[in-house]
Amino acid sequence: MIFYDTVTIDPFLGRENNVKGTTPIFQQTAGLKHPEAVNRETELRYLQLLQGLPAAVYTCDAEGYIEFYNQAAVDLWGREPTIGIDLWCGSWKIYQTDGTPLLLNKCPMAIALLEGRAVLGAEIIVERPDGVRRTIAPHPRPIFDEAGKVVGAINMLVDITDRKRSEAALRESEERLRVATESADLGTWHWYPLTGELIWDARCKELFGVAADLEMDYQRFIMSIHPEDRERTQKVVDYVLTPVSGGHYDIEYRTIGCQDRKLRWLRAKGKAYYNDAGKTFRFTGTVQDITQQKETEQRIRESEERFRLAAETAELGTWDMDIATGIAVTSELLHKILGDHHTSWTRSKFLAIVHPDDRYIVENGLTMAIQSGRLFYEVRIINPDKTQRWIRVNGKTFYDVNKKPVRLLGTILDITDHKLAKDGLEKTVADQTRELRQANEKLEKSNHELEQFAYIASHDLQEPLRKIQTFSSLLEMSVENTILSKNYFDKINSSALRMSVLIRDVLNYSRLAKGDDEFKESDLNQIVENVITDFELLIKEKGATVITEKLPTIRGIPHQLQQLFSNLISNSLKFAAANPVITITSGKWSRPDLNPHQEYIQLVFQDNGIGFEQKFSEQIFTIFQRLNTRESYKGTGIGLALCKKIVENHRGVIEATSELGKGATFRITLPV
Amino acid sequence: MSQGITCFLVDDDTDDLEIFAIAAAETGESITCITANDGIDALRQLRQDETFIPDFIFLDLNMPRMNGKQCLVEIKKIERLMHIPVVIYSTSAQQRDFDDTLKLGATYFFTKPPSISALAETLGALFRSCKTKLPLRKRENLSAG
Repeated sequence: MIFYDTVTIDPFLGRENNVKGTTPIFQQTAGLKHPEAVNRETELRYLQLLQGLPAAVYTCDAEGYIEFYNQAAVDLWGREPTIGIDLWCGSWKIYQTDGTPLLLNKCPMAIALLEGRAVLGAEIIVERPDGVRRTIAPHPRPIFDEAGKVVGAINMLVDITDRKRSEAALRESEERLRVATESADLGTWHWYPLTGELIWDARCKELFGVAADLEMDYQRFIMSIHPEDRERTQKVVDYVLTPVSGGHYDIEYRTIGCQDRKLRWLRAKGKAYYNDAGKTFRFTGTVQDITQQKETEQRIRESEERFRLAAETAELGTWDMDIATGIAVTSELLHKILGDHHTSWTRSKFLAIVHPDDRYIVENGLTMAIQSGRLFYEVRIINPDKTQRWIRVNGKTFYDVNKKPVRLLGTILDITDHKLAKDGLEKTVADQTRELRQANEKLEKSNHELEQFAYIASHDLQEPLRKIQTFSSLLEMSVENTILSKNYFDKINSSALRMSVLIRDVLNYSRLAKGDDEFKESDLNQIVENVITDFELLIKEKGATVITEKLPTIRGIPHQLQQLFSNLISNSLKFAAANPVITITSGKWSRPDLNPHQEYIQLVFQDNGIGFEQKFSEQIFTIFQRLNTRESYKGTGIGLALCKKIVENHRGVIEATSELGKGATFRITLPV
Repeated sequence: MSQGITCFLVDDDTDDLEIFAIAAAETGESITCITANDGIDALRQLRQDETFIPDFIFLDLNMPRMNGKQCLVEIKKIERLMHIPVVIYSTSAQQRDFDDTLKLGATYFFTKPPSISALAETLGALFRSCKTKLPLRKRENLSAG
C-alpha cells in the first residue's frame, strides 16, 4: 500500500470558466514524520474524500492493474472491477466517440501510463453490462516517484453524456435556426453590450451593404442607418436595453449600405437578455429586407391618395359595406351628400332616408349586385330639411375564396342638378315639340283656309267674268259693228279672257302649294309622251321637233310633273324662233349641297328659241314676272313660277341658263 | 208631247238662265225651257205636276237653300224621272264635283263656258244625242277657253 500525504485538488474548468469538477493530484512528499498514526488518519480522510467524490476516480499501478476505485466509478462502469485482474479501465466495453470499439490497452489511461503523461481532452464511450452507454471524459495522469519514474496512474472520469446531448441538441437547434433564417433570408446578429462584441452573419452584412469580411461594431451599425431613422432607432435600442421593456425588440428602419450605398428598408426583431444587475449582457435577433414590401405599401398609399383625390374631385362619396352586417365605412364627402343624418352609416340607416317610393329600387339593386357583381341605381333621398335630392349609386361586389359575397364597395354621386337639367331639357323638348305641333296645325289650318279662299275667290271671280264675256259677245252680236266698236269689243274680250286665265293660274298655284299630293313611282317617259300628245297640234303648227332621251322613273306626283313638263314645253314653243328644236335629256346627279345622302337625276330641257339675258335667270321664276311685253307674247307670267313650285314640292331645284337669241336651257334636279 | 225638247233648268242665277235660253235657241232646235230658282222650288214643281216629264234636267251645283247634289239625289228618287238625263251645268271645274255627281246619277257634267257659241255647241250635241237616243258620257276638257 502506498500512502500519500499531499493531495492537491485542481479545479477542472469548463468553457465558461466555471468549475466543472476536480482533479485530485496525489503526491508523496519526502520526510514522513509520524508514519503509522498519521498515515492511518490521513488515509481514512483521503478514502472518505475519494469515496465521496461524485466523479469516478480510480488508480492503477505501473502495469495498469486497477488498485483503487470509488463508488462513483462502480456506478459509472456498472460493475466492480476485480483487483488484480482488470486493467486500465473498469468498463465492460469502451468505444471511441464515433462508435468504433476501443481496445482497453489503447484507452487514455493506458496511454497515460505508457507515455508517462496526462491525457487531456479525450472523450470515450463506456458501455455498462446492461448495455447503457455513457460518454465520459477521462482525465488520466501518471503518478511519478521521486525519481520521476511512473509508478502508476490516476484517472477521473467525468460523465459528459448529458453535456454531449445538450451540445448535440444545441447544434441541431442552431442548424434548424440557420436553415430557418436562410430560407427567410434573415440575417442574424448577436450583440454583447458588456464586451462590445457585435457579431453579424453574412446575410446581415449583406443587408447592411457591408462586405462580408468587415468587422462590425455598434458605431458602424448606427451609422449605417438612414439619418432620418437613426435617432428613433437609437431610442428604441436604448429602451430595449432596459429590463422594463421586457426585452422585445421590433423595429423598422432604413439603411444606407456602408459600401454599396443602396437604400433598404429593414425590419429588425430580437430579444435582450439581462443579468442580475439589470444589464443587458446579450442582445440577439434577426433582420429582414422589407424594401419590396415598403415600396408596395408606398405605392398603395399613393394609389389610395390618388383615388381619394379623384373621388373628391368628382365629388363622389365612397363607401365600403360589409354585406353580412350592413355596416359601412364611409368617406366625409359621402356624409355631405347623404345629408349628415348620422355619424356612421349602415344599410338600414341608408334605406331609411331613401324616398319611400324608391326603396324597392335599393332592395332590388342589392339583390342584383350580389348576383351580377355590379350595383347601379338612381334614387331620391330625403335630407334632414325635408328637401329631396337625386343620387346615383355605383358599386362592385367582392367575394371570398368560397365565392360568397362579403363586401360591397362603391360610390355615391349627387345628380340632382343633372336630373333637373335633364328633366328641364326633356320638358323644353316636350314644350318645343308641342309648340311645333301647334305651329304646324296652325299652318295647316291657314293653308286650308287659304286654299278655300283661293277656291272660293277664283270661283266667285270667274263667275262675273264669265258674264262679262258672255254678254259682251252677245252685245257684239246684237249691235252694228264698226271697226272701232269691234276693236273695243276685242279689248273687252281679251281682258276678260286674260283675267280668267290669271284666276285659273292663281288657283292652280295655290292648289300646288298645298303639297299633300301623293308621291308615286312616275315614269317620266310616259309623262313626256302625254305632254307631247297634248301639244301635238301646236308642235305641228310651229314645225317643231322634240327630241327625248330615255328618261328614268322617279318618285313624284305624276300630275304635277306633267304640268311641269307641259309648262316648259309650252314656253319653248311659245318663245320659239324658226324651226324650233326642243331636246330633253337626263343624267345621274349628286347634289351634296342639297342632301349628301340622296341620289338625284338632272333633266335638261333645251330649246333654240329667243332666249333671255342670263341676269334674269332667277327673276323669271318669280310669279307674274314677265320679260316681254304682253303684246309680244301671251301668258300671265305664272308658268315658270308654277314650275318652280312643282320642283320644290319634289325637293329639287330648277335653274335656267340662257343667252339672248341662243335659246334657253332649263336644268331640273330631282331626287330619284 | 210637243215636237221640241223640254229642258228643266234649275239655277239661281237668272243671267245664266237667260244665257242658256239664248244658246239653246242658237242650236237651231225647238227648245222649251222650264226654270226653277233653287232645288226646293225645282222639287216642288216636279212633285206637284206628275205629268211633267222634261227631256233634260239641267242642274247647277251652287245654289242656296239646297245645293245641286242634294237636289240631284232627290230628283233621282222620283220614279217617273229616273230615266231622264240630268246634266250638271256648273261654274265648278272640280274633279271632285264631277266624280260625286256622276256617282249620284248625273248623266253629264259640264262647266259653264264663257261664250254663248261654246255653250250652243255643247247643247246642240246634247240635243242631237237625245234625238238619236245615243248615250252621251263625256267629260268636257277643262282647259277650254
